[in-house]
Amino acid sequence: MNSNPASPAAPAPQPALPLLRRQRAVLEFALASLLRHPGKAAVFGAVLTLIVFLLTSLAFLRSSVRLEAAAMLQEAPDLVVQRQVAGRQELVPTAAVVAVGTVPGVQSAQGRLWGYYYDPAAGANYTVAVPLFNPPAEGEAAIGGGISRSRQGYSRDVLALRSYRGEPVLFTVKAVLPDRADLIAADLMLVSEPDFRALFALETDVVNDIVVRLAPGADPDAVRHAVTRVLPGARLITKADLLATADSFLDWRRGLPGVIVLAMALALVIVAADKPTALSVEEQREMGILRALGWSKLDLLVAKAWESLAVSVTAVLVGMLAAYAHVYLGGAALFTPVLRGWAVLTPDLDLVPSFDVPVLATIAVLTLLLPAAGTLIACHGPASGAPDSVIRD
Amino acid sequence: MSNVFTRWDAPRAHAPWPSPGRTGPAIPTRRHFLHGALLAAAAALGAIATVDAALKAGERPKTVTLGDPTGARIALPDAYGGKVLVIHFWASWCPPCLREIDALESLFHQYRERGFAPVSVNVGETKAVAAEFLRTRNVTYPILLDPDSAAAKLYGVTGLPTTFVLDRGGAIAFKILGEINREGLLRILSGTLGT
Repeated sequence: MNSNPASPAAPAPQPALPLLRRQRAVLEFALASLLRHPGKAAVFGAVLTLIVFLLTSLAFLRSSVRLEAAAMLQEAPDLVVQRQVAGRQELVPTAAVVAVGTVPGVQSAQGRLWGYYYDPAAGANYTVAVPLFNPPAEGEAAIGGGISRSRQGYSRDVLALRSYRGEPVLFTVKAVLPDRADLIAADLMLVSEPDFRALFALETDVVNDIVVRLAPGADPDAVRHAVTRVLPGARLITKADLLATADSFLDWRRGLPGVIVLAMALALVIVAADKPTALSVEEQREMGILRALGWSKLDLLVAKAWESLAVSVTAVLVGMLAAYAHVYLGGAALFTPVLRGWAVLTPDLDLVPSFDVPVLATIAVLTLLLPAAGTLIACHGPASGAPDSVIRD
Repeated sequence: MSNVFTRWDAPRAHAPWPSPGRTGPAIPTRRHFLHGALLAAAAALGAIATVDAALKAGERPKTVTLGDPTGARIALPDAYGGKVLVIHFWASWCPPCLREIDALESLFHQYRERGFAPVSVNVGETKAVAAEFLRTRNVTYPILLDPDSAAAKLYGVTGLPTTFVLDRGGAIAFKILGEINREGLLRILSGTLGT
C-alpha cells in the first residue's frame, strides 16, 4: 500500500519490449483504434482517395498525351512555310515551292494540300489531306475513326461529298484508319491530289503550304532568314514552335489542369489542417487512459501517425488504381467532355500508359505527409498533458 | 497536321513509338500491363456492349415490311429477289434527296427491263407529307413510308440521303453516304447491273 495517499499510484514499470515487437504492438493498436471509429476513417479516406484519384488521373492524361505528341512530332518537318495575306493564311503558288527549294541549306521543299470540309450530313468538319507519300488512288479515300463512326461508313462504302463547284465527288472508302491513330486522325480523310482539287475546286498551280527539310548541318536560322527573303511576309513555323505548342497542352501552369491541381491541393491542405479540430472527445479520453496506463508521449504519437498513414496509404493505392482504370480503361471519361468542347468528331482516348514518376511521387508523398502532420499536431497536446486532465477535459 | 502526310497505309500506324529499326527504349503497350485484367473486363463489358447496327457491304439486311401511301405493304428486300435493288432513304426537307429521286426515276425508266428496282423510303414523316410530295412530282417507282424510322434504324442510317445497292442475291453491294447524281449512280451500278 502506498504510504503517501496524496500521490497517485505510479503504474508498474513494464518490461522493455524489443523495438520491432513494440512497433508491431503500436501498429496493432493503431489499426484497432481505426476500426473503433470506422465512419470517421471512411469519410477521411474517401476524401483523400477522391483527391488522389483526380490528381493522378490528370497526371496520367497529361503524361500520355505529351508522349503521343512528342512521338508524333518526331516526324514533323523542320520548317513549315505559310503565305499570309492580311494575317490570314492564303494559298501558295507552286512557283514559291520551287523558289524555297533553291534556298541554300534546304534539302527538300514540298507543297502540301490540306483543308477543312464541312459535311452537313454529319454536322462536322473533316480534315482532308493528300499524303506526301503513297496517296490513295483517285476515287478512293482512307477515313478516320471519327468520320467512320459519325457516318457509319466502312471499307467499300461510298462517301459522296459535294464539291465547292456543287457537284458530287465520290470516294470509295478503302480503309478506316486504325483506332490507335484516333487521337490525331479521328476527323482525317486522306484522298488523292486530283480528288482534293476537285472537292475544293483548287487550281493545279497552288498548294496550301510548304514543308521544308533541312540539309544535314544546315543552320536553321540562316535558312529561315533566306526563306523570308524569298517569300516576304511568309509565316515560318519551326519544329521547335510545334514542340512548344504541344508541350503547353495540359501544362500544370495553364488552364484547366492548373485549376484542378490548385483546387485539389487546397482540399488536401484543408483536410490536413482540419485534423486538429477533428480530434473527438472519445479519442482524447482514449489518449489520456493510455497515458495513465504508461504509454509514453512518443508511443501515442507513433500510434496516431500509423492510424493516419494506414488511411493515407489505402487512399493513395485505391486512388491511383482508380485513376489508372479511369484514364486507360475508361478513356478519361470525366475529362473528355471538357477536352472535346464543341467538337463533333472526337477521338476515343486510347492512350498508352505513361508514368511521370516525380509527379506521382509528389502526389503520394503529399497525401501521406500532410494528413500525418495534421494528426501529429492535433495529438501533440493530449499526448503531452497529464492523463487525468486529458481524461477530464 | 504533320505526320498525316507521311505514308498512311504503312504498318507504323500508331505513330508514337520507335519502329523496330529505330533505337530507343521500347515503350510498353497496354497489353503488357493489363492483359489479364482486360480479359476479365472484356468478359464483363461484353454483356452490356451495344452492337453496331450499321449494315456493311456484303451483309444481307433483315426483312422489313413498309407501307406505301396507298396502304399497300411491301417486304424489303424479299419482294425484289433477283433484281438489283436500290433502297434510297429520303425526307421531303432534304433537297439532295429530292434530286436523287429525279435521278432514280430517270434510271428506273432506262434500266427497269434489266432488273433495276429503286425504292425510296421516306424517313420519319407522315403519309400526308409524302403524298403531298408525290402529288407535285411524277414518280413511278415505289415510295415507301417509314414514319417511326424503324427501317432507317435497321439499316443504320445516320444521315440523309443514304442509299443502299443490293445485288441480285440480296446482299449489300454498296452503301452510298451522301448525295449522288445520275452519272455517279450509274457508274456504281454498272458492275451490278451489267450495263
